[in-house]
Amino acid sequence: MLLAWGLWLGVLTAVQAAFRSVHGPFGVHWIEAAMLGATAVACVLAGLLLWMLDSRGGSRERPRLLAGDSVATATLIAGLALALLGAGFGLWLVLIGVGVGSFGLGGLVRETLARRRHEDGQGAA
Amino acid sequence: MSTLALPARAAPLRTLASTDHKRVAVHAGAVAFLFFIAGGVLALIMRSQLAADGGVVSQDSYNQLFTMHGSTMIYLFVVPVGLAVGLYFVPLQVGAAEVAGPRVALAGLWLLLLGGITMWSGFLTSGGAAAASWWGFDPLSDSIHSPSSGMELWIFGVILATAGQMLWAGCLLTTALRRRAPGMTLMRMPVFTWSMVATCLLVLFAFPALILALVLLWAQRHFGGVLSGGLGAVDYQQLFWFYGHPVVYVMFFPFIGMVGEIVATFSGRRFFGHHAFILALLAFSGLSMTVWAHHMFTMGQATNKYFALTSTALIVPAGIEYLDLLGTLWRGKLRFNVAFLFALGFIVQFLVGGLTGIVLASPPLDYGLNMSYFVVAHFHYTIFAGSAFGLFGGLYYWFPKVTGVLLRERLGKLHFWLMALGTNLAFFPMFVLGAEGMTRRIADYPTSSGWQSLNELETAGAGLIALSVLAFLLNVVVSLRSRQPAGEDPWQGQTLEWATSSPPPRHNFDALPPIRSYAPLLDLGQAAEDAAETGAPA
Amino acid sequence: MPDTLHAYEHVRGIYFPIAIGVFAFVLAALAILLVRGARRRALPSRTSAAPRFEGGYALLLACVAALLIVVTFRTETPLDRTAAHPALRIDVIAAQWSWVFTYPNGARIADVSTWHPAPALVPAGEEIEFAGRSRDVIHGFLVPQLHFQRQLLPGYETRFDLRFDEPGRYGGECSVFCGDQHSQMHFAIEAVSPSRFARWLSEHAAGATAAGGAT
Repeated sequence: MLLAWGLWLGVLTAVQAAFRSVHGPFGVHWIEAAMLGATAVACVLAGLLLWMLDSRGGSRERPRLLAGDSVATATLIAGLALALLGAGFGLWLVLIGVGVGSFGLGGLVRETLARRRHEDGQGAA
Repeated sequence: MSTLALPARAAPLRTLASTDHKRVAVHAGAVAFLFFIAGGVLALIMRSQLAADGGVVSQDSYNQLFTMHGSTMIYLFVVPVGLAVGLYFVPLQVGAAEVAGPRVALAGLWLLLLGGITMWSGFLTSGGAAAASWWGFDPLSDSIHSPSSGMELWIFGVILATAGQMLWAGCLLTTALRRRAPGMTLMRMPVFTWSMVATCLLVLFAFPALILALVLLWAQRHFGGVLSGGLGAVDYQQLFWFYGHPVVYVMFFPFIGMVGEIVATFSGRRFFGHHAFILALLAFSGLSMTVWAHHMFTMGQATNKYFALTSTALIVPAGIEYLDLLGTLWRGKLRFNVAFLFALGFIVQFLVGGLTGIVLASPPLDYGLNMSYFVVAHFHYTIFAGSAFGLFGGLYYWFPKVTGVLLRERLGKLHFWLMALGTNLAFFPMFVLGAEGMTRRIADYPTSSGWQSLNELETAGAGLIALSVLAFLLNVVVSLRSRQPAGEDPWQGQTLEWATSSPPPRHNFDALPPIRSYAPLLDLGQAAEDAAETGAPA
Repeated sequence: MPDTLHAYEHVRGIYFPIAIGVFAFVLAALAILLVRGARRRALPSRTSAAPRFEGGYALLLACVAALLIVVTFRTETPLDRTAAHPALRIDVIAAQWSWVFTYPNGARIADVSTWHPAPALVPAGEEIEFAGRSRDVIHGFLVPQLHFQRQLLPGYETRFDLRFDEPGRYGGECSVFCGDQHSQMHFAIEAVSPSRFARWLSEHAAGATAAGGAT
């Protein structure tokens, strides 16, 4: 399944490698090559990772529980956003953000536990 | 389907925190559309300033206006709206019950909303909103030349919104690669899903460069010494454009994917050259990662010839995509619905943007035209006359699936013709002005230049565009109020989203048809035709 | 010879007709397809690909791209080069929101945030080197009549050569958005005969500064 994906990465890397050898009169800046190279490497690594996950056998067909909503996620994001803003506007905002965010994190843990319980219950029934 | 649903909570919470990819997508689309209208209002103020030959707003206000117009349209509208449509339809098109990582998708919505509010709250500060253009180039954006807290809010807003877009891209790519229904191989994914795959690759691999650039910019503002000295300004631009060019294709692929679906459906035939189209998309996205410095030709600090080569090479994949779109019309039986009209608008008008892009990819021409209104005309032809037309096509096409009711065709045609006329009036004269040397981002121009009448024409065009958007909003309201039920499949669609109810249930499908090609529903229809022809029972 | 004007016109003369031709061709093809598709009574075609045709077409596209690239590269090479011994070298300092041109003998022309800049004179038809710097943010040195611009960076000297063949006044402006009064950041260059230029230069030698008038 990931053959196409892997191939595409190979093509991309080859394209980049081939183009790297072209030198213009204005010269290649180190950052141009570095950014392209880093992306190519990241691409290949991502492809390999997916490939490995895939060859380990799919867990694709296990039943999934659809959570209806997740207020905790929204809270977590709001907290993180506030904390980030705090970087510009002072420590107090960072602290508020972290506080709100930790509420969200706690909520997420609670949601995960609830889902586990629910799934176990379904399995037993 | 082996899926279960947890009992839902009270309505208001469910609306704001639903993890159903369809609800998240509709909310994200609505948020993005609000920003589209807000950004459009800014554009109208700018247009009145230029038509009146200055005098409507001050220079500083004008600088805030175009900065926020560009930032809003790119960071908060076109990119997120394309991903939002993907968030709704990629899981449906690959026959999945759910998007991969529904909570992550929800997080993306909140990041977009909070990022947008953060960016716009700059207008409330004493120094006004950011005024260093949507590029935020250092050193203009540093603490000496842009000391306002609006600039600071802009940095945080862009980081938040961009992070949200990366989360969505992760969800969508994982869905397309690992959540497909049995029988849905990679090469059987419809063109829209493939266009989203290409989009997500760019988002995931290019957007981190923007976040890095902005973090460095923030550090430069507060501590200094990061981007300063030597060619720090050039380094910021390298990082910025490493994001800033791929994002152009992030604002293109989803919409050509939509147009592909629309053209196939309203021609009543299989998409022509599906495999070639996908190959072209992948080649396109690969190349587009390596054309960024054509924005820097006039700096003399990049490998101009190399980037001219890669940029010009885009002719090949783009040409193949056009051939496939036209090939799909060949020997088709056409139905001229509003969605199809918008798709045609995309095909014709994007071509203008694409061809002028090739012109700008040649340094000897770019040395003259860069930073002029020629460039402004070029990218408005791609993003507005192209992508926005594709988007409206997609909205008319999929609105029945999302809401269960059809949009009005006659109001839709009014919307289309107003918008087409307005777009060309607003943006075509910019090519002329740009070639005559009118540069972008100026709040005023000398009266001796003789540019005023063309500028007035453009402003009239912008007014028509605003009217057309009002016609669209009216259409939505009218259609939702007196409902014309759409049924499962009002257009004889070919892909899986038309094989479920409108709107689809929480788990998307009760049963899937057999998937033997990239147009499973067309297969069923053709099998029925064959059976009728041979007289066998269908 | 960095003849930017003719370089631009040469490349434009090849690119624009091709672009317009392609646009017209696609438009015509689209019109035919639409008319035929609207009239069609038979069932739609079931063909889904024509790999050979598509392959050949891709090859054609690659040839067009190659042609354009050859034209571009040939024209660009002399534009990017700077002469070893230019006839004249002028230092340009851009700042928010002014231009200062300094000649080898110390003569200076300054244009501060104006729509009506005082012209800096140059000898017509000769190769002139500009060495540009910015004092603060990035600025763009644009001469629309020559179809040429180059960005000036802080802390880095950008050099480029230009030739003003036709005598007369050439307007110039900042092309890179640079803050509040970007719109008013104009300059002007006037190409005159070499003898007149020599006279003008000696009259404006070090000390005598001609400032651009504000509006």
